[in-house]
Amino acid sequence: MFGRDVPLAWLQLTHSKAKFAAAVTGVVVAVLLMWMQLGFLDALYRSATAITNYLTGDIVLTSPHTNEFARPEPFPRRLLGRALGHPDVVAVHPFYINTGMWQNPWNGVKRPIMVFGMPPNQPLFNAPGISENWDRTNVADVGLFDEVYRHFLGNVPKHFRAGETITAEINHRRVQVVGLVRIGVGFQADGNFVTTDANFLRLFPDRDPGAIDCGVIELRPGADRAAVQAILKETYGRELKVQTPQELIAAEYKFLQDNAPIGFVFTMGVVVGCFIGFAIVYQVLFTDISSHLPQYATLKAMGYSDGYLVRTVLQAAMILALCGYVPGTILAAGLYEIGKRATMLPMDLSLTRGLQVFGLSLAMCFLSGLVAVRRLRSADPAEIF
Amino acid sequence: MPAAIDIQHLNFSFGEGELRKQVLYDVSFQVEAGTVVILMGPSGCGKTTLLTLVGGLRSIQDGEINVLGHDLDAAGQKELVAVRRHIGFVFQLHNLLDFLTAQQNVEMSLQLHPEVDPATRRRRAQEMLKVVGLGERLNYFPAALSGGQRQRVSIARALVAEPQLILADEPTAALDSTSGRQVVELLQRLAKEQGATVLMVTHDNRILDLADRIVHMEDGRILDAS
Repeated sequence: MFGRDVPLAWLQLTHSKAKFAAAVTGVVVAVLLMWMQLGFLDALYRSATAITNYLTGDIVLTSPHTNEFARPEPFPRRLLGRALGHPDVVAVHPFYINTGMWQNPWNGVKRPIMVFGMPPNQPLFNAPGISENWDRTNVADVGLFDEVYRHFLGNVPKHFRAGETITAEINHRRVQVVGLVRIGVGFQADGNFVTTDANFLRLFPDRDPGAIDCGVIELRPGADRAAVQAILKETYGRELKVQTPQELIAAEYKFLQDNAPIGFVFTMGVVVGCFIGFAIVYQVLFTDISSHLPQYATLKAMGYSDGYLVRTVLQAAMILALCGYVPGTILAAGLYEIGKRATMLPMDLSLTRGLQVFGLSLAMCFLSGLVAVRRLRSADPAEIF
Repeated sequence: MPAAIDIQHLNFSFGEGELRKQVLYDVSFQVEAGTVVILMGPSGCGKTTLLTLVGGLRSIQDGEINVLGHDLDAAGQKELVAVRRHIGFVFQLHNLLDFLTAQQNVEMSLQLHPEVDPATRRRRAQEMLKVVGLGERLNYFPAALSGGQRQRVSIARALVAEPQLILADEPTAALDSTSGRQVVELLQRLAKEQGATVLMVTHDNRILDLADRIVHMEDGRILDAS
């Protein structure tokens, strides 16, 4: 067969097909859980920052109390004026964000929808669909509908493309959909509606028109962004946060990691997955060693070192990790597709996460093996006589 | 020619403090190289304990044992493990690995000798199994073999690396009289062919004629070391 040593670990593991299948299943479950939990966690981060990714400005101003872009704290519009004082600042655009109540035009169901309001001359982000449709929004009570949405809102894209006139109510005010965009949906709402600042204020009449949610700064081409940012930080002190879009995203990731209970829930899911895998692999290795103690003792009597036996157990653990990882990942790919369709959240297999999950599986199985190895001490060659 | 085994004034006890029980009292004898020696005695006389000490499976407490030129009393764990590779062990319960075939079980013994390459290992394992009459059963798992056949695999495993010393503990106890006799005859014949020494512990009166010498033990003492 092979020109090698007898593959003890492999043969022992696979001798009983049923036990091997059970052990591998345990690892598969753990791998699957890890993929899903990490995937949801990543979807949480990515969807929270979907629109921020598309911002076209160089620097973003937000209230110091704003931790999540989708749930901003408003601040006085007049604060934007200060930034205009800087020679490299070409324009500062106000940006409104809020969550409204959308009523499904076909079945009347009410669901949350994110509404974005921007000055009519300047769409502040470049998501697909914005530039070609933006001119149509400079009319009262219209807006663009995000075609990445949850079905509860009603199948607006299909009907729109069919040429129908789509009117719906947001916050009990009738609006018409005049175009489609593609941004991304998060945990906050089931979809997005993009319109002008004037339309936004009509939809949120209780809102103070002098309070905006975000200021997007456009710099002169060739300006030194870092330098301008430093000066603006001094200018605004503790009144406003002065960040680049990337810094904003990173800060929100960190906030979600540290504070959002849902992030904790998903992280716990990963831990539980690891624990399940660990427990099952340990159980299998431990009982395998226990039922083979006299044989292991015989190997020791023959002259095999303790190290050899330890290596064999660890090899068995690694084999389980590998044999569970592959089917687990394939299943995860399938579940991601299902999850994506069900939640419209961005869920994609990534190489980084693949390596993370692989690393976690290896570590979990390896640790399991290390603990199971202690059972080997009972294999005393002197006792088998 | 130096003795294969030289035991001098060996004392051994189990347990500590109040539970300490001495099982070997001033045991001394030699086993000549190339001979088959049977160690006999009633249960609890210490013969098995003596065997484990000769095999380097327990640490010596008091006395000296020289096996194949190695002083076991002065040896550390690593050296004891190394010495064991030159000893062939045959147990009462064969202790074959149930997830390996007969051939793989025998190969495990040769694997301890890195100077033998994998292809040669396989060949020698196959030849050894043919010699013990199991040439048709190379790929059988122990569960598919009879008690006598398993014991023969165990002998093949013990002898394939051509050890200078074979230690056997009650090799016939789990077998019927016919298989038992066949197994020990085989062991004796192969040992003689290889020029190996055999020290066997047994209760079995029916195989005594196969030995060159019989040593009796009782209550931890040698009765006669003829």
